[in-house]
Amino acid sequence: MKGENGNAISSEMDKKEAIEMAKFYIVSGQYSRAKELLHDIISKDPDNTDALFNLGILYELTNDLDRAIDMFRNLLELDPENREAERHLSKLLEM
Amino acid sequence: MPQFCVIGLGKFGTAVALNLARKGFDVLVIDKDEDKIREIEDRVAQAIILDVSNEKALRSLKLSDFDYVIIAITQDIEASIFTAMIVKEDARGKTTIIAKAATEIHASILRKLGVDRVIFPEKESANRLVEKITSPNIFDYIELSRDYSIAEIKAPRSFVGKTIISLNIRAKYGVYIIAIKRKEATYTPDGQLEVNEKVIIIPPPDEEIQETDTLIVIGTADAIERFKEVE
Repeated sequence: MKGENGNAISSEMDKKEAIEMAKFYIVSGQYSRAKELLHDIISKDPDNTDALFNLGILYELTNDLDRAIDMFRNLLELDPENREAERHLSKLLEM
Repeated sequence: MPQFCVIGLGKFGTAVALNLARKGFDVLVIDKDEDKIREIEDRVAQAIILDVSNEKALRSLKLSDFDYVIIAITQDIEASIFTAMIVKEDARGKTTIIAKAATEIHASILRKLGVDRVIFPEKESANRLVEKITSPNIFDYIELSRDYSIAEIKAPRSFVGKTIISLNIRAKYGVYIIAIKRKEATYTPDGQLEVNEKVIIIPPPDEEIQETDTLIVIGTADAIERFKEVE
């Protein structure tokens, strides 16, 4: 996996840093960069719950609600105790 | 075109089915009351008399072939829960299941069964539900009168980065933006991200539309219908 600086994101530390970078992109409104980075992480590590959570947040933010629901559902399958994901999911499912 | 099934022809279920049919969608309606089926059968694609407690008959309908199954049974909570359970088992994630709840406990059971959307009669009109499920860009819809409605619409992609005045929305589409709901992400004290929403009431003409915006517009049903197609 290639990170922003072109290096492979392989170690746990690299993944953590990449997620922090993605979060910064989200907060600063750089949504496509954040999406690309999070998809990169998930493609190599599909069970990365931090990446799934933040991608869920990103989709919720950009009103891509069906995808946001999918992300939080996937995350809850991996981590059923994740209260934050549960809170976001029930908010999204309210009509 | 998505296929719909409406189970339970009370006032709400009937209105949802007729509304969908009027919009040109194929709707299958199910009720155990023959009179209710007779009343509606000419106006929908298919109408079936069936008691949902007959599990074998219910399963034989292959409800998993439908994109949406709307369970509009609230008089008989047991029947509603039983139907939700059977549909959920058969659907295997392919069908969006929407169920109307009579009470908070009923709603909580429906959610536990994995129903995708639980709705409450006091919050939901049939019209509002139909708009929301048939138009992915419409998040909410309220009829003000026979002619005018208010809709919450996802900001079209082509509007992002442009000001309201430069888009000439009122003249071009006949709708008026009365508010913008804008989401933004912030850090929580423990470093997680949180989504916050602020509402800009009567946005000024030089307000720039952003990717995270939902536009709340007022206009005639026709104008809103045209506006929701803008990409």
